[in-house]
Amino acid sequence: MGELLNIVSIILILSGLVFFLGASIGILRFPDFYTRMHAAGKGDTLSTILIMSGMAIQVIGDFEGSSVLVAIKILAIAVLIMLTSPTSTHLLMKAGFDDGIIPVSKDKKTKINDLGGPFLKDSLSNESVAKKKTATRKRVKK
Amino acid sequence: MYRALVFLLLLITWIVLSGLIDPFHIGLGVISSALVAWLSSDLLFEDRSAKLIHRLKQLARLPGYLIWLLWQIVLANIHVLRISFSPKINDQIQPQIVRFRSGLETDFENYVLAQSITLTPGTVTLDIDKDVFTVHAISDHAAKGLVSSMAQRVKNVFAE
Amino acid sequence: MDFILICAGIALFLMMLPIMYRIVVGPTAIDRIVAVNVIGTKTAVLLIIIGALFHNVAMFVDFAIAYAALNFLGSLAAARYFNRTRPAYGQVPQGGRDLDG
Repeated sequence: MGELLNIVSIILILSGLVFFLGASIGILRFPDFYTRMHAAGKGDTLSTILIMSGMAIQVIGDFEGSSVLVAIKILAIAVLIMLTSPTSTHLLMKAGFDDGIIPVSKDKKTKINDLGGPFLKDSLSNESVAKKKTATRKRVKK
Repeated sequence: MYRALVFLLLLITWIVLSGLIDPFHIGLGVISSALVAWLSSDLLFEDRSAKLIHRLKQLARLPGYLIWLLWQIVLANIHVLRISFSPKINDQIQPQIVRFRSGLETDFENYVLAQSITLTPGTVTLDIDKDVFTVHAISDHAAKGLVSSMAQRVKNVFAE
Repeated sequence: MDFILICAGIALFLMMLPIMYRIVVGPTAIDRIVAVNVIGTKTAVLLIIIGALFHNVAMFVDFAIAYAALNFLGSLAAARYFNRTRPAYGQVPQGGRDLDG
């Protein structure tokens, strides 16, 4: 039983390291701010969850007595990070968007692509986008 | 009713974080959780009209969604991994901004959808205005997958 | 087992180096904040691995919780501060964005 837990935790930790390697190479190589956020927001969260669960299994297998509580705490950190990491990613991305960082795209112009979606009732007004655009223009003039 | 629920959640958190099971420390936990629940319990559950049985039903449907979400997160990470290791990175990505309407009603549903979008296939939430989502997608494939089923799943979880 | 944990810790540290590069070079301020955020999350993980190496996880887990929470608050504060205080670049590139296409 102990051997099996050991092997499972090692597999979890190693896969977490592989995903973190993807995230760090992505942060190094992706061409612009927005795409780097993709690497940071996803790879970071999943690798943290995997390594944390591996360590939790490790702790349960290694020690006795109060180790269950420690394992629960480790899992609580994983849940905390799973909840907070997308929030901070979203807020930082929004800060960059409001600051006027220009996303790269195939044809130099950045469009907002209205997909609609399964619940679309009426076509969206372009009001908020227009507002944002004038705000950016004003900042450029300053 | 909801106040008692908030109190219980806080107390469980206290016991897990402190780890000391003796009358003195649990007493301190009871006092501080009661104080917090009394002062600010209205922050947690916004819609108090729903019966508790509905909440329990939603809670029972949540694990299935979470397991599906975890699998989607793994797929998304493999996608990003493949892109970041490919030698010609600029051919693999087609960054674009996409806007759509989710059709969800409460803030909490939109919050869950926004977190899920940020964690799954090549998409990050840029902006939310009521239920209008502005999303940055890393490739055409990710943008197509966006409107397929995720909003419907969230709607199913939180249905009455 | 200790050997594997040491290897994992060293690997985590080595993978932080490319992110360090992003902190030093990163063209915008928010790039740097993101990199710091990622390193902070990974430091919480590293703290737990260090705790397992010292056979004292119960103590280091509390550090890791505090570190993760502070890291989240720090990045939120930074995002709030850099939002609309100044352009992320020194000067906004010519043309601006054309969102309506």
